[in-house]
Amino acid sequence: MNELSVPLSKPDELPQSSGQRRAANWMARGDWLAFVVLMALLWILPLALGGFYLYLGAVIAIYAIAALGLQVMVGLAGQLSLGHAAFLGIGAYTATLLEKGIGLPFLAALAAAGLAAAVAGLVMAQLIRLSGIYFKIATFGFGIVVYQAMTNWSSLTGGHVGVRGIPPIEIFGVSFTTRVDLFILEMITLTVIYALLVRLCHGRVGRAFRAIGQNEAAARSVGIPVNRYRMGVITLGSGIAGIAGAFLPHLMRFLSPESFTWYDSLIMLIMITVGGIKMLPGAVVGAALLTIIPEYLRDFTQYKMLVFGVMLIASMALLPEGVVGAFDRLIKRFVPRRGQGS
Amino acid sequence: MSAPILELRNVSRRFGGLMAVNDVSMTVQPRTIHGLIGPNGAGKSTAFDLISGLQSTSGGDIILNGAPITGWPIEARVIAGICRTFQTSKLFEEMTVKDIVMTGCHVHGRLGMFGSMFAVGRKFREERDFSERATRLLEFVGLSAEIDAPIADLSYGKRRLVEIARALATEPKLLLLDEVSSGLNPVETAAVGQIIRTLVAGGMTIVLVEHDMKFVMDLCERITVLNFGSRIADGTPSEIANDEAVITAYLGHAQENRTPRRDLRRAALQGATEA
Repeated sequence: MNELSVPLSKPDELPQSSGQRRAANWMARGDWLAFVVLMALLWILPLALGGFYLYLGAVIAIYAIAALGLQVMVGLAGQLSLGHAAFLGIGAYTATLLEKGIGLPFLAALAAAGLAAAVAGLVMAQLIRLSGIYFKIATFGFGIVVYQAMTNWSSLTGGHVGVRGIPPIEIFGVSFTTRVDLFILEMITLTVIYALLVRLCHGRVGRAFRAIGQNEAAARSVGIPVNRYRMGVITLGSGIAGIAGAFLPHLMRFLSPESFTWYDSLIMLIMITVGGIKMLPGAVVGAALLTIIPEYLRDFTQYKMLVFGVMLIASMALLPEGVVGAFDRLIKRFVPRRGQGS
Repeated sequence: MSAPILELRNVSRRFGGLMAVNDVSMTVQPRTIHGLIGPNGAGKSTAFDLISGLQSTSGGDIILNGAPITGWPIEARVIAGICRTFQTSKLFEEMTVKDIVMTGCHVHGRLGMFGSMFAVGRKFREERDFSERATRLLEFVGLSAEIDAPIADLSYGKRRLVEIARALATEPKLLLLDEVSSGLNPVETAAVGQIIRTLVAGGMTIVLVEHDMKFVMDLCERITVLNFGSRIADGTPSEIANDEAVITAYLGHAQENRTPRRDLRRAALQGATEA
């Protein structure tokens, strides 16, 4: 096939092959670099600073996991969900009820939480038959239905009163009772899930997800079964939220439906937008920002949503690619990229 | 003559009251370049949508290598060896050139969602295989220098080539190119023509939807002409060029008792120079 000479590339543009090969996987390497930096910060800072920062770190870890799930769905595959908190809630209730009710060990409850949320996600994914905006509205409706079920099915969930007396985490006979223990368990989960998602992203299926998010017709034209993959990514994102949810009652020592309102779904969407949509690290950065900033605005609690609103507008106007996107751009300005033609 | 690779038998597609494709039959021989031409709105692109499976037919049969594929979903057709490009390039705007072409390798991969996350050796080999295929194809279309560039940095003509490379990554037996030369400069058009010839020499069959008459007449062994959704002619380029119905469809009727505009213009010009 190589006898062909196509006059489109001039000889001086031909690759210098060694530099070319090294630059080959720029995007994947960028993602791994961000992974290492963010995980290092998130592991070290809360443990080193301790106290309140440890608590903040524990909150961030939970929302970072959930936001990563949302990022894969919304940012990568373009399947907007307005009811993500519902899956967090399904995970939280599943884990708590299993642990408290039948004394299931934590790891089993964690797996069950992910599974239950994934099944619920698969059920919601059936709605993709609704086209465009109708699917998005239906995800909003799904979130509200789940919230209503949590508040009104009192015999199972305890309704508005919530669930108290969350049993401590126990894994293979070792109990994890302190906040440091909980933080470490959360961070292990976050690190593993984040790493798996980076791997997914730079593989056959992740590429197909991104293709669907960027141009559905083109993705179909190369033989990606779009509907199956859309359902797959919604199931995956929901399952990840369920896993995050399983940790929440252990941190709060209390479980009520008020952690899973449409408002919480919205905040997670703001997280991935402010952090940087379409980029996995954006989910983690956004989760950190939207957890830390309100803590310093305690005196203005009633204006919290106002602050979030302003942040969202400011980030969309000034940093349309989010904090991570802006940072990425800044780095590329100083580090000349190799192997770039045209 | 060998058995046709693609056959349309009385294929129709209706949009409400409009017959976008009306009872069209067409036979494409393997290892040939087949042109599908016609004035604007003739139903060429719709015909492509029907063959590639992007839209479903309202009637008739589509047959690939003797097997009816009329109701098949698009991904099954890609696996069977049909791939298409679009009139205006549909690419993945946030990816690098190589990533886009690797997306075209999708049907040749095995790893599923969990495989992509957990497999180590198998994933490494699959990614390396995809990467090698993409590199080879980009070399073939002449984009070796742009392999890691973000697609947004590429010119219109090069984007076309990326789209062709992506379609080739599915390893089609039958490649459908929708207005592949439109918007390209003459050098780029010649390059695309050369790519098409090389592919056919390698055993591929190509169907072109085209507006550029010279391009079509030079390349195609056989041409089918559509007008208002119906087939009005089918034959070799020279037959098509002299076909009364085709000339009428493109240029309108020659009207009796009217001085051609060309003569009027010439007369006016002469008048101007004499004065």
